[in-house]
Amino acid sequence: MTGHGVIINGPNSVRPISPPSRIVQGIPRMNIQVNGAPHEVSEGMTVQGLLRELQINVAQVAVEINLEILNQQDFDARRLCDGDRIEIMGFIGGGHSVAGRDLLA
Amino acid sequence: MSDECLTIAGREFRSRLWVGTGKYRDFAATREAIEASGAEVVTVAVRRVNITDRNTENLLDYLDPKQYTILPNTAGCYTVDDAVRYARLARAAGVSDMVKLEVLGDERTLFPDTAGLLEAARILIKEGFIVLPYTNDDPVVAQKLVDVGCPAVMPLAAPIGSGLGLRNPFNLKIIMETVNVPVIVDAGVGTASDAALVMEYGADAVLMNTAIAGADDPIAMATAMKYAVDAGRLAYKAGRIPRKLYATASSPIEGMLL
Repeated sequence: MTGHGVIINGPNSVRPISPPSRIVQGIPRMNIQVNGAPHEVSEGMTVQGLLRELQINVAQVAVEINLEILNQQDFDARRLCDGDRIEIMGFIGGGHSVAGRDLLA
Repeated sequence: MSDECLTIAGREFRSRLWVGTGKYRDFAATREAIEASGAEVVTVAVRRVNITDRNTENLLDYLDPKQYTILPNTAGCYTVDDAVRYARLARAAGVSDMVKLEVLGDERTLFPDTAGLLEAARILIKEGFIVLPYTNDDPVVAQKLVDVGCPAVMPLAAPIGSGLGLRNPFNLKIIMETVNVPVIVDAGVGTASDAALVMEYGADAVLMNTAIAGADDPIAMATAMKYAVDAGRLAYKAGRIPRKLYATASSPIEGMLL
């Protein structure tokens, strides 16, 4: 099997490409995952910084890092690490059970 | 026009019609229909924020938290772990410590997994949540939910989105008579008469989404639902006459021509 985003190291080993760390304007970059998709940020980036970069209003969102739910007051101090899996959750229209789109994996 | 307030966990609500915010054309349409319904409690779902389209609007920008009680739900959760996770995320987002707890057991019917529901309710109540559980029309389960600390129960009238109306009025009635907390009938209402009937049976409130959002004219249906809920409540309070098989004349015989 071949396709975009995979490299083959042997007959049974298929793994996703992990881009090597880059350096942008003197600051090394980290590879993280945001809402299920790969994302690149500067080293030392805080949760608050990530939300600002993504232009997300901090009020009324919840952030989970590697399954740990953060308090909103910790967004400013909490620094991201390479490989972190981040979920940014908010509210959408819903009454009862709705389609699974945008559910957590 | 409504009578006394509905009190849940110390919070007072004047409107006995609770509404969901799903399935509308856009947020403006959502807001207009909710305004027409007169509802104070509106449910919302917890989902990933769209991070690729930065211009996405936020539902909560359209619903003034001073005017509405925002009730997050755990819609779409099929396991205890998922439901608990979504409830915690909802609370962390800072909107409410109330949650409409759903733990589903089956994709076709969306019937609740009541064993999972009880377990999730127990966990969340221990963490200080106000848990309003979406449950089956099962009086035994309803009582167990009350026993673990739910300040209200939300049994279904019919499957979510089915519009079938009140399928099992007798079980609903037993729940209303046996639990000592408010009963909010949740899901299955199709049109105004369904809502009125639910309230006539003695429900403390009714929650609906699809019946309004899916109507050809959601604003008109929201208005109809508001009147239906008020009418049903008034009829319940007024006390209906008993059903009889044969006629009873309502005009006196006396004074008739011989």
